[in-house]
Amino acid sequence: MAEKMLELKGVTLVFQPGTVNEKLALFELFLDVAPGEWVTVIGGNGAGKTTLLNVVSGVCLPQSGRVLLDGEDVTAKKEYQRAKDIGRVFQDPLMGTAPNMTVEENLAMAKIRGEKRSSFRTGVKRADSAAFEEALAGLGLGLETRKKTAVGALSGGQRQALTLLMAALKRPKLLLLDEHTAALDPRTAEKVMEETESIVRKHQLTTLMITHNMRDALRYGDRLIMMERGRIALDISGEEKRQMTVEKLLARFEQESGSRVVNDKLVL
Amino acid sequence: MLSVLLSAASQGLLWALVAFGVFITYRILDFADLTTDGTVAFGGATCALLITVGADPLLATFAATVMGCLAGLLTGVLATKARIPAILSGILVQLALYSINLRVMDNKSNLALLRKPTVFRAVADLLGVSNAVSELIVGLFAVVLCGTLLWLFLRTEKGLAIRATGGNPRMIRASGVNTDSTTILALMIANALIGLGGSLLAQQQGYSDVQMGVGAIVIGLASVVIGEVLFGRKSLLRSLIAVALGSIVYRCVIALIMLAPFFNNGDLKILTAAIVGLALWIPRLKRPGGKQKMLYGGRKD
Ligand SMILES: Nc1ncnc2c1ncn2[C@@H]1O[C@H](COP(=O)(O)OP(=O)(O)O)[C@@H](O)[C@H]1O
Ligand SMILES: [Mg+2]
Repeated sequence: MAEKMLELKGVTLVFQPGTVNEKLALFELFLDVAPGEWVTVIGGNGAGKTTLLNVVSGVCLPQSGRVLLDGEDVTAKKEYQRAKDIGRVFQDPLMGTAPNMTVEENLAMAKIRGEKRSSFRTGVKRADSAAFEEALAGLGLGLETRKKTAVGALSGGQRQALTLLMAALKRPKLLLLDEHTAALDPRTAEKVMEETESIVRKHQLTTLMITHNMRDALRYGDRLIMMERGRIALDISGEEKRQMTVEKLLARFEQESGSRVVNDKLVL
Repeated sequence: MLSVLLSAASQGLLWALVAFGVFITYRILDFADLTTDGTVAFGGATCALLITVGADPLLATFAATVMGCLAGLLTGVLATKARIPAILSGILVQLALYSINLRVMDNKSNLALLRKPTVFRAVADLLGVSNAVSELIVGLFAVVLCGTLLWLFLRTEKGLAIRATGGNPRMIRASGVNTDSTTILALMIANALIGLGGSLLAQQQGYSDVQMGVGAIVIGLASVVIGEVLFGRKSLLRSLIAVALGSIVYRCVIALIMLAPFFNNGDLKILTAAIVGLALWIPRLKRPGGKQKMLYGGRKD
């Protein structure tokens, strides 16, 4: 394992360059993440958080800069070529699962993420059945008895918890979470966050977690970064992070963005 | 009356192969593939040409299947590599196939197979049964074989990836699948089945015709929706059986309507359109405001 699990070296990404809609999303961004480190990411709307994850996962290719994953330069690799090492959960609970397929079929697809898919091997293998059941039972949502239910029939919270399970199933080198509890009701969100903590810690997954909930950003993770206009404006970890409060963070946030935080969603 | 229904049933079995193809593209892949009409005629033309020049009918049937597969490949490449919208890709290939089919049939609009060997005659001779019985046997055999293979394949790792490509392409890309490849593969399989259907239809009716595929996608769709409405789609297996039965029901309904003196053969298309329109509409009426359900079990979001 390399010393750094993820390295971004001077990444710049402009959307629709040379048009009136030109939009600088990331600007000469540097970021190193150590193996097993859990980084929470905050920042205002349009700060470039999602784009950062998109660059890491290969959804967006930057105009300049390099992306290194576990020491390997993956800058030019397509999303599906990096998938082996990256698990991802999106904000929209509908994004991470195939609604037309059953719970166990979805898990089976995640089980072979990034591997070559055979036209002859059965997708849902009997040998995985017990492990799937146990993992589902661990979510505490009763999904272990609904393995043959189409995922489209599940609630948003159930789908998101399943997506999380699928993202972590292959012990990815990197787990990317993009406001993955934002679309859930508070109780479900809480539950999915607890599940996140338990999965990340159990497998010591290197994790980038975007959240707009500052309390979550402080409570979870080893390190916190705040993004502003495509750059990292604040980067704290260890004692400094432990000493940080929502109030102080908010003050920094307003100072950085030059505006008052009116959106109370940020502090909820 | 019984003989009318029996012949409708064997027609339905052969058309079920086309319906399987439409099921793959329209339902599983969520790709409205208009290649279908061209592929039916392409399968018929290829098969008829090879039989008239003396090829073994089984070989000719196989060749038609391969040709269908290639048509699907072309549509798939246009839709994924050239990023042409799905519907337009299908239309382009369908249009091109019209010219190709005329060439294949030596610039004639049809090619007769009178007194030529066909798989149906071969089976009739082999088993000592009538042509009508042979058509039923061959149709049933082809549908059960293709349906089973399809069911098994769609449960494999690759099969799951194809189904996920239709259900949530972003998700399956994020788990390492090249959705361009799965799209192309699914189109190839679908059109192979459609080409096979076309070749058997040509052998059964005794000629291939450049027009024989017109409306095939709608007929396939009719089978899919009728099957789903009548027989459900709780699981993949159930859906496949429903599609095959839907194709038979569709043929029988059409055959019965045709018994009424008012209708003539030219009315077939409008009747088909009406049946499909109603079959797609009725489930929505039953669920006010409800989204149309996609595939089996799941919801389209
Ligand atoms: N696909 C895209 N095309 C054009 N502009 C985009 C695209 N995605 C994001 N942007 C722009 O890039 C900026 C950063 O977006 P994003 O990374 O989604 O922000 P965040 O996740 O921090 O809210 C925003 O101004 C956004 O409008
Ligand atoms: Mg975002």
